[in-house]
Amino acid sequence: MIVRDRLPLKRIWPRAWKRLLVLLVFDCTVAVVYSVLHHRWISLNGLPVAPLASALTIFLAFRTNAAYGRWWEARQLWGQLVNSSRALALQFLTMLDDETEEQDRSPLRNTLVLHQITFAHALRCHLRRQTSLPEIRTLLGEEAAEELAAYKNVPAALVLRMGGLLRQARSEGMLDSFRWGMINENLTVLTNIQGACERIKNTPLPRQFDFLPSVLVSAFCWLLPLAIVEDLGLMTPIASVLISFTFIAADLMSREISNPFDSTIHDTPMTALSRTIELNLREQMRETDRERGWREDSRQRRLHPVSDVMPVDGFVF
Amino acid sequence: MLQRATEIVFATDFSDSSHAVIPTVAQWVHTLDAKLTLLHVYNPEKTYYREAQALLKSFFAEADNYKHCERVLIAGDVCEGITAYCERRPNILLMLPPSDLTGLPRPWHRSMRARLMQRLSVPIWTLGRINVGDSAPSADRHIGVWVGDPEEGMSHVRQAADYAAETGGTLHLLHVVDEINEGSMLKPLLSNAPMGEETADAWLRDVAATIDLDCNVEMHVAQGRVSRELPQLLRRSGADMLVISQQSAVHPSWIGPEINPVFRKCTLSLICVPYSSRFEELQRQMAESAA
Repeated sequence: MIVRDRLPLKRIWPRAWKRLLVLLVFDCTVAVVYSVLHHRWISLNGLPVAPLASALTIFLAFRTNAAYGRWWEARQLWGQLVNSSRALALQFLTMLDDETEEQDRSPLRNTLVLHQITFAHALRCHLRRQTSLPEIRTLLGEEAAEELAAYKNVPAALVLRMGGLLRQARSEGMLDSFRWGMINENLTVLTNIQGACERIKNTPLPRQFDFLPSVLVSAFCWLLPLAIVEDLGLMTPIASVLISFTFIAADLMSREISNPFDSTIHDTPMTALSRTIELNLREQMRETDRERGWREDSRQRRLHPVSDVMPVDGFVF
Repeated sequence: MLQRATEIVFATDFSDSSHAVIPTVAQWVHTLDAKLTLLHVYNPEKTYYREAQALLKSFFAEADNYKHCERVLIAGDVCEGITAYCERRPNILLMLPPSDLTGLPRPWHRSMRARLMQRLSVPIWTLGRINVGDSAPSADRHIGVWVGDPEEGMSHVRQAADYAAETGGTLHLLHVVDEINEGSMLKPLLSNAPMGEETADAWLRDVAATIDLDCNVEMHVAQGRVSRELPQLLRRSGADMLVISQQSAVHPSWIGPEINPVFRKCTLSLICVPYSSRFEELQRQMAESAA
């Protein structure tokens, strides 16, 4: 996600330059043919450029709205994941009666919270088509990683594991049916969030929304110099390329934000959000010493301290 | 050498392509079960240490959750910094993403990747090119090997075969026979490469016979211009990673070494295997003959 004030042109330029260069050559040819070689027939002065541009703008606005809708829904879903994770961790930590004196065993509620942290990381990796096994290995241990490696959908497998742990807690008398039902509701929310994210990831914008505006933008850019050459003469290329760039940039921009779950600068900042979830949940577990990454009496020890993710070069990933 | 890598050094400049290759780096960390080092070399005249450190800390933040991950910050020239760091370490795989596409011609551009490939004696992973916004491909089960010339040696073929055997993948030996006509007899005279498709096929069979490893081997030969035929061979073979020798990866040009234009257009993973392995191979052959 872009958080800097200015978006440098070099971000748009690599995708736009070929089209603009071809258009510039065409515009110059039209201007020279009309003004220098005096072929007046080339002018299409009667062409209603303004109504055409308005119609095109409506098409582009439709697509930009649809693309922004996808991007914003993705962000909302991850915001909901942050809230649900906090609520679920709160329930794990306050509703499970698991008071253990054994030093080599961490309480079941902490194990469940670690599963919740892992779920956020696994969902991010799942959506970015990235393996989450190195992180699972660190957070849940080698055994869990080996077990989860067999699954294609790791986040769903993690929810299943959490369900299994809750059933174990219930059978051992740590949890009654009422509290189990409440926690289970939040687990269902996690599954729904994952499903919605997968829907956005796997369903592209309708092809009509994607294809038609691109074709119309191209057609408009080719017709534009013919329509304005009579009024502008040799200055046609400057005006035509500038107007074309506006439409091409709008076309590219809406295309870029329509896929919010790829490893690009336009996607939902899932790394930062999953880190926020981890930090919040570790604080809820009273692992408050961020400098060293663990407390003296904490059973979950980390090699690295965990800190917030800062923007890199004006972008949050 | 590749499957023996215990450390992956990911040299980053925080560019878009560095971000785009993160899933591939994660996949390699998992496949090799290796330690990950994120290396950034900054220019102290342009960037403050704290600024560079904050950027490095936030880049690929999820790597903090890996079992072994280190972030290393070095001040100075980028090429020198990476070389100095990598030379001190045995068994590493250096990952170098390509530059972001600018859409503008860069006639005076000196390829840092090519210089590093020439100087370092470690395997280097890279991509031919990556479009801004695209995500990088991840290497999987089909390992292509570019067998260009007998003089390049067989060490890169052997390493690719080792890796294929280790990961249960299929090895694809790829060769393109140069177009030969009356006006271009100089190249065939200077090279030992086979001059016909049948000869090339027989040569690849000999190469495959010397590998003697437990992996599937397929051979793909075409005739024509390499830049035109190689992408088609790659598509036909289904290879998702290409192992190349250092000799074929880097080409000299009048402003310095550059990545071979044939591979620069590829959008799949490239692994450049260094010369030093040839010495290892020679040593192994000498040891075998002595025994």
